[in-house]
Amino acid sequence: MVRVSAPGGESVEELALFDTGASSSSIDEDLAEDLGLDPDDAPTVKVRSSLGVEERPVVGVVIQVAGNTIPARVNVADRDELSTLVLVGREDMAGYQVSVGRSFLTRPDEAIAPSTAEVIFLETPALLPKTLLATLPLCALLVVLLRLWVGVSTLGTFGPVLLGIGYVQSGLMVGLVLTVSLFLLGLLIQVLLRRSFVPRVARLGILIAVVATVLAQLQSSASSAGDVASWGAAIPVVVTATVIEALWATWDEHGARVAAREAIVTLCVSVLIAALLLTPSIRHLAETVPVHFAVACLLWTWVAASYKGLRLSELLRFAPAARRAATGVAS
Amino acid sequence: MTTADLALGGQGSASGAEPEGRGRRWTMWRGYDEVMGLNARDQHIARSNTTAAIRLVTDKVLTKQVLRRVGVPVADTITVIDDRRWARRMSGAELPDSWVMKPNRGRGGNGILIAAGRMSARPDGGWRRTSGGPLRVAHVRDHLRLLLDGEFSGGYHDLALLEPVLRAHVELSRLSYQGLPDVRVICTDDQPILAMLRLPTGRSNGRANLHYGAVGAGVDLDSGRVVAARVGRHEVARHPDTHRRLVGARIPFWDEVLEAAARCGPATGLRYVGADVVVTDSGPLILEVNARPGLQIQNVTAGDSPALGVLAR
Repeated sequence: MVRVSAPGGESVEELALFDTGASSSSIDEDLAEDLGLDPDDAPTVKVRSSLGVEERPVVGVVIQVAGNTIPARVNVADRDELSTLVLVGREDMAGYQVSVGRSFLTRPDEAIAPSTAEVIFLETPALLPKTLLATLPLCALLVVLLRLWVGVSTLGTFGPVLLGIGYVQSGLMVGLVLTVSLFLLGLLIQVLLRRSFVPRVARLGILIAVVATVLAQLQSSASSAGDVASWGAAIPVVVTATVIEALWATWDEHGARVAAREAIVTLCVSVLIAALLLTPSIRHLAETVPVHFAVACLLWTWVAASYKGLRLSELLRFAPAARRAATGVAS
Repeated sequence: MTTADLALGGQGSASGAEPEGRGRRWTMWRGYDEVMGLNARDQHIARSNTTAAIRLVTDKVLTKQVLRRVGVPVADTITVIDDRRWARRMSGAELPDSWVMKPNRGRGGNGILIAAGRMSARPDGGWRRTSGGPLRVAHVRDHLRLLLDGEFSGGYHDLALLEPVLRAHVELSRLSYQGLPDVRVICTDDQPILAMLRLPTGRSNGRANLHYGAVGAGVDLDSGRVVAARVGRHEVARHPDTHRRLVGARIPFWDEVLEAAARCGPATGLRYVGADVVVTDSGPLILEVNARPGLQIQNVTAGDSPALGVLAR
């Protein structure tokens, strides 16, 4: 994350791509306008990029990275279709060590990772597959704690973990809106399929196809989310379909109220997991000592699973029984 | 403030006097010591019930065979349907005037279809539901197809079990609203330890499952009389629909009910078992054997019967 400031005083915080293959830095033209810069009046330079030779306006800004302030002359280009609105080239990254392929490493003011709240809403894959792999055992531990200690029941045992990972990669708002609309769409299809007596297997198949179609359509039409890593977006397809299937089953068996409650709880747990994955200290552990971290989570899961006492929710559920037992209601 | 305090506080604390300090806390926790939670139950089941026995009792047809062999009374079997082609071509004349269709591996009363009688003299004219509405042959065919495809069994294949329509003993059907009331008896080995009468209500749609809104009434093992009843979160003395008084009601054939329930464990190999017993005018019948009986029963039996919480330790 960097902060780009204009001479006029305006500034924005943005995710920047550090590109060792580019000599000079570059910002998006809409971003330049937001900063109060006027590219039309600015001097221009010829830039040779992967798109060919272009004439681009050059403006003076200040870029803040990890607590350092770098005065920079950046060119203005249409970066709307690209993964980041800000690109930092070699000229402006002197003195930095570049971690290839990693993202969300520093804040503008400090050399520490951005907070969960800053990252969770960004529509950019935030974690490397390797980091995700190391944090999965922690998610599993959380699910075990929620189920065996608290007594939370969700649609599908580990469904929320996969949804949470999806949210990390797609951005929380996009992810939540997508899931909720897919839930509603799924219920609609359910009504239609029920009328025509389609068996379970076929229903799940149709559901997966519908979810995939909707996501594919959204990916090709949404330009700003054009770079949503395909593997990150692909995971939730089958998971979302099975979660919707669980939603139907719960609806059938226990009625709309229970189904709605479980859907909400599932979404909450997913968000909790997304937040957990993006917590700076957890990311730090998962990136620096992934194997130790995974093993530690595994051991704690083992410990948590050996709990045989009452779940938190059962204190309420069995309150009448406890009262009867304690007071000896009997004769 | 502990969580137990909160839980009890929400329900109105039961300890009338004002014991102070550690004494008070002890009172709060003591009740919970005797309650079995899901974690403890699952561990207890894993220790007591073999997977082979659990697999046996999820199969209603096999369970009935096993019980019948040792002389435990079960409902008759009209037929078992496992042929999709037959199901597709069925005209209605092949089936009797009244029947109950169950998925062989169904759970929680899902997928059960009941024909109370013929709609007309014509054999392809369909049946009557218990509510009086029509039950068309085409619907039965569709239902049967879904059932055979495992719709109600959480799998992809199942059998349909056809049984005669059972009638509860007049003493019990008087108390109940629609559906079939039954008695859930939890046994360890051949010892009954908890018993609960389950009465369908308007809200439960004729089902005897507590979480659908049926009445759960704790029964004293010695006398066979109801000691307390609940619907959902509320303690009741009368049935919400029939307004009959439940507390004090006596279950007919009580000794036979306990005897039949007590034989289910040894017959099936389960050491911790929940037997569902229907009491008819001619005596008890075992309806179903559960390897993982629910724990809600404790809310109407605790204090009167042995504590499940102690069992798990």
